[in-house]
Amino acid sequence: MTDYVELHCHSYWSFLEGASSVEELVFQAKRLGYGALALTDHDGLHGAMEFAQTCRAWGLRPITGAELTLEQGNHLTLLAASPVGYSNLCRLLSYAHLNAPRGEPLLPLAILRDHTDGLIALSGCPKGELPSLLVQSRWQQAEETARRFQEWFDGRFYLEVQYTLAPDDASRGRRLADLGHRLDIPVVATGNVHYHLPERSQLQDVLVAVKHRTTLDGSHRFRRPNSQYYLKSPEAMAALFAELPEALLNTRAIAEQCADFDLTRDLDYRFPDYPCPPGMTPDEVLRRFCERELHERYRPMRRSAQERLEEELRLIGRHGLSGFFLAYQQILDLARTVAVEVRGRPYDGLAPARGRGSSVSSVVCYLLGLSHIDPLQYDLFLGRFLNEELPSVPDIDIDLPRDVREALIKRVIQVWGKEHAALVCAFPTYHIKGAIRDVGKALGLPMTEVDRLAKSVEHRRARDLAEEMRQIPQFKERVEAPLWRDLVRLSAEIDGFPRHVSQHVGGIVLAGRPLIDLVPVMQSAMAGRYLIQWDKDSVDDARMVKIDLLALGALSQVDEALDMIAETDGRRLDLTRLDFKDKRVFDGICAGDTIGIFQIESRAQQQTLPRTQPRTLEDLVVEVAIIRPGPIVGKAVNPYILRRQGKETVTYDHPSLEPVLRETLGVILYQEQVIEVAMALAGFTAAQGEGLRRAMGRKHSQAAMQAFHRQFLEGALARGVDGEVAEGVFTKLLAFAEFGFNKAHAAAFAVLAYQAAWLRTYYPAHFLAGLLNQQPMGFYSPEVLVGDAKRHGVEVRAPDANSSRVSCHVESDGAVRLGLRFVKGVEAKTAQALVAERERRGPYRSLPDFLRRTYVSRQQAEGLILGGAFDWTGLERRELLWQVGLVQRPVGQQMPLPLETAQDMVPLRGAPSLNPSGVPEGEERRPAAGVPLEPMTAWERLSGEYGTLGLSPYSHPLGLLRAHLHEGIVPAAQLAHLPDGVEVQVAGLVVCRQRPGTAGGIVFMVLEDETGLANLIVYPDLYQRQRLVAGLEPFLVVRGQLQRRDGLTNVIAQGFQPLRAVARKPTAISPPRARNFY
Amino acid sequence: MVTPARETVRAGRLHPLAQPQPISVEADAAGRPLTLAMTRGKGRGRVVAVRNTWLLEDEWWRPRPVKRRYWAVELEGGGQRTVFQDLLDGTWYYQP
Repeated sequence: MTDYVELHCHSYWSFLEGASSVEELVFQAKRLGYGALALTDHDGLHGAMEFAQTCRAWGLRPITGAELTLEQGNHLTLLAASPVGYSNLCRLLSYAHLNAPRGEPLLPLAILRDHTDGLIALSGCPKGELPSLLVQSRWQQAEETARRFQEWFDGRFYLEVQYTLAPDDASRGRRLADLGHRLDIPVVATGNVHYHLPERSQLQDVLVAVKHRTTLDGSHRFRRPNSQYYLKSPEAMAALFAELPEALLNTRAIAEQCADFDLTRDLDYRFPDYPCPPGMTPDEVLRRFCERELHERYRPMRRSAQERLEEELRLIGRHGLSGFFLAYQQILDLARTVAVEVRGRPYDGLAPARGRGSSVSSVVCYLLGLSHIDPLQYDLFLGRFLNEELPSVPDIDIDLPRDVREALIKRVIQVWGKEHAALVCAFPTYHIKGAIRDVGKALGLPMTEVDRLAKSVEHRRARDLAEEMRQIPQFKERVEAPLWRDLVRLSAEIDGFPRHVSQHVGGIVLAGRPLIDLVPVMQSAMAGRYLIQWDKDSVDDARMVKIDLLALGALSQVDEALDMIAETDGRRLDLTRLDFKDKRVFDGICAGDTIGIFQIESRAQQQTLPRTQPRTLEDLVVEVAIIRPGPIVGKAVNPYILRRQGKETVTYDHPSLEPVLRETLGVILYQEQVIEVAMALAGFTAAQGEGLRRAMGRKHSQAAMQAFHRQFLEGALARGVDGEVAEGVFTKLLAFAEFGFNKAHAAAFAVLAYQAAWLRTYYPAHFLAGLLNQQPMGFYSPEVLVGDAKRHGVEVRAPDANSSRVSCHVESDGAVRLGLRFVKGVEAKTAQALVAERERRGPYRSLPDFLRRTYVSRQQAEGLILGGAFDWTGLERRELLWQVGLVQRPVGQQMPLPLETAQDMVPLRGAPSLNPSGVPEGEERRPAAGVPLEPMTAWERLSGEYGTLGLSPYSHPLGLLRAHLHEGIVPAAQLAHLPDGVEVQVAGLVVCRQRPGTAGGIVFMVLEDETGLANLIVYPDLYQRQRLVAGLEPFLVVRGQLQRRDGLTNVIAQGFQPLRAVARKPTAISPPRARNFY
Repeated sequence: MVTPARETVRAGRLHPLAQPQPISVEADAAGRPLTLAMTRGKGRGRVVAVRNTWLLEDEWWRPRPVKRRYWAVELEGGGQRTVFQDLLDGTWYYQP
């Protein structure tokens, strides 16, 4: 090891400060000959585990630390020299975050004083208390401060000297050295590193500007004076500190002191102990529970079930996981309790929690009630979930209805205690649009141009900006222009940088020890919730148990629909007892008539279902698994479809693969099959197969992948498999591995998809109402869902001030009534107040009565009117808008007239018949005579509805425009009746654009008109040429060639025009945004 | 000298900004100045000590970025000067 070790280094985990990734820093350190490196990000250990793992992988010794902000705003660098020191560091960081406003951590000095064991302190960068005092020549205070730290850290305090060619460096360094000599405090050299190479200083400048929400020009006083804050070579540091050699030697001494602590080894995490009955172990408790349930679930008893249970209990016992499974069982019980509380009624029928993922393959999970699928019935492979070696704790994800999940998260934290349960972090990272906006603003580029560019690019990596700009005519020439070329370059550098801390969608960590001894805890954006500073990857590396409580909109939707059916029909259906072979349900699925159905509604699914023709639940399991990048990239989808249709022979790459791939006709469709193929072809164990599968997905697994590749080939050759065949199979596995579903997961989802399909078939109104209430979810906008339901005979009615509830519901005659909260600007809380007032004092008698009783804002009132909420008054909407203006005059501008004049005394039109008595005379007013109000046209009504509801219950823009379009433009519903190959034109609202990464640049679009949906296929060259029209216009006319194949109808697009070029009106309405999946 | 407070301020009494002035410098291989010679006015001599040095890099996004290495030096005879080298074109300046 060289004599110099860098002890003060920031990565991009110092958000909007550090300008290099952990990998870049570690790699550069290795290249420069370092033997050890410290990471000291600001007020956090977000990157500490990743750093420790990466250092180990590259043969460097990691030193864990952080730069803390103390209560006066000064900085102090702390390094962990032992497990106790690390715990203290976590505690200090937690205190700093938990006892200050969110995002502004500050550590009180008194807390620091009590937690110095095992920590080494460096006096910090120029913002440290000591350096600041010395620069201000406050000698006495500096001396007192130095003595204080010396005492608190018991000889483990160093004066940090930095030479970065900043103006004050020399004098500050001299004064620190003098102080050190005087008080016998050692000095140490650091580089105050913020990036790995000097070139990155420009990105660092930009990050600082972004952090301070200003431009580079405006951030002058926050930015560093030069590019010297890079990771220098030990030789360069030696030259800088030639006159202070002890400062260099002390870096090595400190590194030696920190050698005792290794985060990858010394974390000492333990899962909470399960509270067993006296005299029993967790293994015994689990066994007793499972054996009891086994006899309940398997009647008559099957030997295979008993054998499977034995095997699983053996593996669980071997890995010491009984307590883990019992904890899940506890959570399930809590979910039931919480569901009853949230719903206010007993929870029957569907259980509130459903397992997803590979846990569904476990009989123990089935018996605990975590899974709804009998793994033996579906022949689910256990090895992905549980095997002999088990490199990490098994993953159990639980899906819940949204309302139950929110309450359950709070309950879990309450039951296990705040000290032992907290949520996991997530880190939103820079992609192309965010990079354009933030970097563009920092560079001072015109914001209208920046905004335009951000809207024109597709959702891609920020590093693809140059390529994107070359495809947009207005920006093509700017790729090399001054400032714009900086935008391109810096966007590529900032690609993937974490932007800030957010909450993982449902991950909770449970720990036997207090969490703040293991990882810093901070406040979440939601009050009362706490996060650990690690994301799921770091949690996984730390072998912590993470429980994923996920909100599945489809579960909430189905629950709501069942509630509504119980209300209208008087009985609650039990969806576990459905006929899972209902022909009518499968007829709809096979026709691709699946809009709104969980997992099988997407455009891609609708294009596949008529070809695969699933007729059983097992077929549906395949269908759910098949439309994923994995099978598509692995070139499995088309062969599967062709083989299923009998158009291709079923073949296997090798005879040993037949037992594994028979059920999927020779193609790899499931993640489990990756493991089973590795076992069958190359002799892997289940654990090795699972290791291979995981390595294929994770970002820092290059070395592991190479090792597995070698092992696979050697194993295959040893079993007599031809080398080329083995290589070919491995390539298929590679293409597939991370993105495919596992079968167990697909099975769980297939059951829910079937249940949803059944509801849609037999209770379409309730299905729609539940679906609308749970938005946002699914593939389509509410506008498309409503249009589709109408075409299936469901009547949909506008919100109504007297008939609507807060949310959508099904009226006694079977029509769906939109809820009040669907009106833009009227949120749930306001809607609740409107309904509560109506329930308290009776129906609203007129608009003025409503306005007087409810205090809605003018905007809300207008929104309700335009949405149709007052159509029941018999008055025209324009008239009603006028009435709002009369009743709701701005405060302070109501000037009482000295005398009443005749024109103010005319009663409001239509009002007397609805207000028999008791309404004060002052309300019965109407606009002054002589102001005629034209009724709204159909287009204006539609426009108002789209503006406030995002849809129209009664009409469609194309329905009103049809008369203005020439007859060559064909309604979507007619396409299926035209011959294959004919030239067609079709017009509609764009509801979806999709460019799957696996489709070679082809864009799939869906247009909607008053008769239905039209599917378009747009080849890449056409899309690029007409990108601004096809990609941005909400209404289009498309010319193309009709393609009818395998029961599918598509238009192969040949040209686009905006509809407004043909009919002027569409610009007058604000259509719902298309769902774009790029 | 302090201008009396009741005196009228006239344009002639306003001092110009401290504009850098070109200077001729002999430097060593590391860029450290050894002797200075002002192109006009006084300021000539041998450098006996460097009190401070710093690097300024800024405005890289503009057509004319700033990249200067500053040296605060002590001359033989006791004079103190601050000079800098524009690292983009190599020119030396005296900073009043």
